[in-house]
Amino acid sequence: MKGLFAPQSIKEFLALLAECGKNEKHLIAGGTDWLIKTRGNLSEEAVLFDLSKMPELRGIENKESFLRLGSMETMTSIHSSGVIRLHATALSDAAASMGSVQIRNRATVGGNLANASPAADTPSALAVLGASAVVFSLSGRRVLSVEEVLGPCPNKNTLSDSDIIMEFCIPLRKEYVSAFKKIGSRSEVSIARVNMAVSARYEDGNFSDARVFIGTLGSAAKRCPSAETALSMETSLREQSFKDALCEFAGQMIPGRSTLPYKKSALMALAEDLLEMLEERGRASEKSGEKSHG
Amino acid sequence: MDKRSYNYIGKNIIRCDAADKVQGRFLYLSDEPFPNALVGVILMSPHANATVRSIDVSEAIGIEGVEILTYLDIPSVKYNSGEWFPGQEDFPDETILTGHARHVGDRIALVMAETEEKARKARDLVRVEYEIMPAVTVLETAADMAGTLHEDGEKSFEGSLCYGDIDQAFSAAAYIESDTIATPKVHHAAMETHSVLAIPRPGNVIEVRTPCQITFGVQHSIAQVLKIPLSKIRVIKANMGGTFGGKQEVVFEVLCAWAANKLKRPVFINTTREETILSTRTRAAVKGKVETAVDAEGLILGRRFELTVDAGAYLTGTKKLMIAMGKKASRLYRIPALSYTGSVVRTSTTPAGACRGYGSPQIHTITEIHTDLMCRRLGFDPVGFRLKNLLKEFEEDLSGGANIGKARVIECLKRGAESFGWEENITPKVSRGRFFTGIGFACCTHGNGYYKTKYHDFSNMSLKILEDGSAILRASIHELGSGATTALAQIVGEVTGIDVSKITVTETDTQFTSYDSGCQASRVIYVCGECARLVSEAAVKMLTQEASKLLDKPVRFSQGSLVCEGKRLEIGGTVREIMKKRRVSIEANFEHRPEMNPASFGVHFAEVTVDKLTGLVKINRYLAVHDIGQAINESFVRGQIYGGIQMGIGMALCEELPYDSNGMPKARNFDKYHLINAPDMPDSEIILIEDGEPGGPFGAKSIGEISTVPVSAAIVNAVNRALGSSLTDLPLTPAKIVEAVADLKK
Repeated sequence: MKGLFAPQSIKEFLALLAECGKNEKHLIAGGTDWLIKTRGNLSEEAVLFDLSKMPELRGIENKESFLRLGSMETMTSIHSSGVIRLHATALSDAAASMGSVQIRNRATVGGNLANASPAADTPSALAVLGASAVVFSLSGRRVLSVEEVLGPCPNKNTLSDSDIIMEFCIPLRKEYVSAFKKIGSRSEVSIARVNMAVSARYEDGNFSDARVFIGTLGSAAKRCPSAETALSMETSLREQSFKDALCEFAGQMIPGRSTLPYKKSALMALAEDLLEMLEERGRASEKSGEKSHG
Repeated sequence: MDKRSYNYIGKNIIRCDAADKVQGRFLYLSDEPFPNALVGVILMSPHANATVRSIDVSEAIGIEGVEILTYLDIPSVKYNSGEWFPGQEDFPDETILTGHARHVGDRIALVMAETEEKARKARDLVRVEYEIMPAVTVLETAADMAGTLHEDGEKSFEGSLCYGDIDQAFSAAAYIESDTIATPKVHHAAMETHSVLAIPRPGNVIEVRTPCQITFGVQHSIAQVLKIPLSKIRVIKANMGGTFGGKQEVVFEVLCAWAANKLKRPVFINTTREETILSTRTRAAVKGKVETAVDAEGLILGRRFELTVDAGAYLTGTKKLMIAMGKKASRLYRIPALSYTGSVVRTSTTPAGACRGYGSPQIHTITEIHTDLMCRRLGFDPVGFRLKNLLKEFEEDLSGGANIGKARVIECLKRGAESFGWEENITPKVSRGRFFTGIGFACCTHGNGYYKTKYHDFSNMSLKILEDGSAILRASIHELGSGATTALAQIVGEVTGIDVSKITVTETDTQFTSYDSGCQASRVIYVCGECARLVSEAAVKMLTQEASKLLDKPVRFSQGSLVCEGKRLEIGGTVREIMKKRRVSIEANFEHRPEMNPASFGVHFAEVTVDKLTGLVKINRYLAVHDIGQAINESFVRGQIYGGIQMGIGMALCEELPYDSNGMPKARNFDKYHLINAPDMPDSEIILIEDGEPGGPFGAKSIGEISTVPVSAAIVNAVNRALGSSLTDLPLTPAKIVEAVADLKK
């Protein structure tokens, strides 16, 4: 290992980044995946950046038209935030179901996306909420969608080693409800075998303008347009059409894979559970008159 | 003695190592680097069945301080890691290192350096070229492929057991029912991974410190391979971070002792979780058919077994285990005629061996799932059927094994069924279209030692009462984490009246403690515990006799005190006077040879809810009822049962070590090997039936192994009742349940 830096600001980080040139860089957020990957085996050339000291990477704020979410916010801070629960419910669900208490206390939302595991929990929730990632690098600031960050390859994001995810902007959409759920091998401390996030506009028992993202089908967040269409159908057809669309989609994503029959069945379970959650949340928000769920 | 007047028996005495453990002061082998020791890591085969074409250590050995021993350096002696006494004639097919790797994780070379990190780096620099051969992974064809895996010409290892007129039983039967059932290969998952330390000592003694279960067995294995006398091998049981049978057989001890002896330096071998999973031992997978002949009223007339046991790459103790399974088949139900044939085959997978229950979880899982499915098909009530056939107290084991003892299995079942609400909950329920709730139970038995088997069972201890009134029990105990040393201290305290906090119970050290058959066969509380009681009585007798001589007046021992002419004598003071004036120390020795080997029993009940879409099983309620004779320490007993439930659920639902067709393990670590964790553990209710077992200390008998025996069958029976399915291929993973539900619909 050549060096360890803990920059106090984005500006300092960028300056240090410029200095370190072509050396192998490790950007460490919560470190929960990084520790397992490296197991302390670092090359002589490795330069480590501890991202935890930059205030720009922190904070959960309601900015009227959108939510600002610092990339270094942890799963625990996210699922215990009332603002997130109200305006980004699917993300709250995902953060609460990830790992164990100890992991949730360290693991960050930015790290979860950057790690790009197909079984990651928060990317599908961020994607369904239409979140955009604000990325900084030596060449400046740019805004990317969750899918653009994930790219086509599992376990590898599209960012360069000098890019840093600073924050997420999650649009606030009135009258929308969202939910996330996963199925793993156990009820807790479990890696998802399949997960799904759904958001939709809710009115009098009907959904419209739905978004559906599925994790674990080769990528952390795959959009499923046919399931979105199915959700807008009338209530008598909705559930079955939703399930059919999901199963067909799984067949297209992982054709012939031995896990396919199980994933189809699990997607049907998720479909039932998520519909129930969305309906319940929709009714609750109509009742309370609070209509700014996202 | 009236139970209610016990000072220590049945009391929740806090274990003597509790404070150290919770404060991190209780050190395990890998916590304490030994001065000047080489740290060894094993170069393991990445292939399932391959011979080494060439091995090049030049680059690795070039690193200063690195020592490497390979399969080319070893003594050619073959041994069997499950043999724990000379002359047991377990078939030897294993060497300490090998040029023919027979499973992923097999030992090719030992790479050593002053630090583990350096040893691991050096290991990565050893170049090995392999000639890869086909993997042997399918039980059904393993015997035919045996030649590619072993050069010894043995296709399989057979065993059988038969009594009664089996043909007559089957021809007289009103019903004949059979099922084919498979139990999985399972990792022990002790928190501590395997490690061992060997130190050359003056006088040509090799000292071996190992968290093991049979020090005298380790000594035997080392003597066999190194060709040195037993007296030159000192095996000390190290602090144990869990075993569950995984550390019962010798795994790295012989290799470590050999390396230390050869290099004349202490050698410490350490492993990671992955290495422990791949290269130590597993529970043996078993697959086979059980067939029962029943009369019109539901009495069992006869039972046939045809089972295949997966030994993994080496035979190890799995032939012993296969025979043990057969011997357990006649100790639960009254089976007038029985035929058991077992076949052990070797496959290119991690070797199997002992694992909590030693075949008992396998055989009882098989018979209890079968019994439930049979009752359903024949329309018999599963409780009534069992009540009719379960053994009663002091019945003989028809196979010729030891008398069954004070069996309370019928009481276990009756009390359990009532407490669990069996009758009221028998009908499965469906909610929200996809959640199926059902109940199940299973009965089981397990032993209490080796008496009346082919293995010798005895224990030799001495109790020394010191000049301050404290005491040391010098015993060859292996504390495995269950609290055995504290339980024995409670027994000594109860007999002698000495405060438990003033009693020290030693663990085994082959140089200083006397012979004991080891911590196996669920013998510790029944045999060693009784030995502790008897040696305590001998010490008390000696003390009263010596005190009588000292005072020239009759001294007797009453209610924990020495009494002379109505006056209480203080123990420490009396011992001091005896030592000074009579030049006698109070140390009694006793060798206990049990003449009984009764059965322990357990009946477990589970209520599960199965999600037919996710295939996940939630255990809503759990009840464990055990016939344990007498709890020495009730919280220890409960601890064993909770842990047994956790292991059994894993074997029923999620724990397995699968291999692909090339013999590549699909689970190498806890990311893919799934144990049940705390959030998924049910609230478990426990009922103990304590009617006092003759021959056990204060009536106690075993609990550690039996507590995991009925769990898997109880869970599987509940799932099958909930779904109306006949699942028999364990574990019932979500994918298997989803598939079964789809099949049921068709």
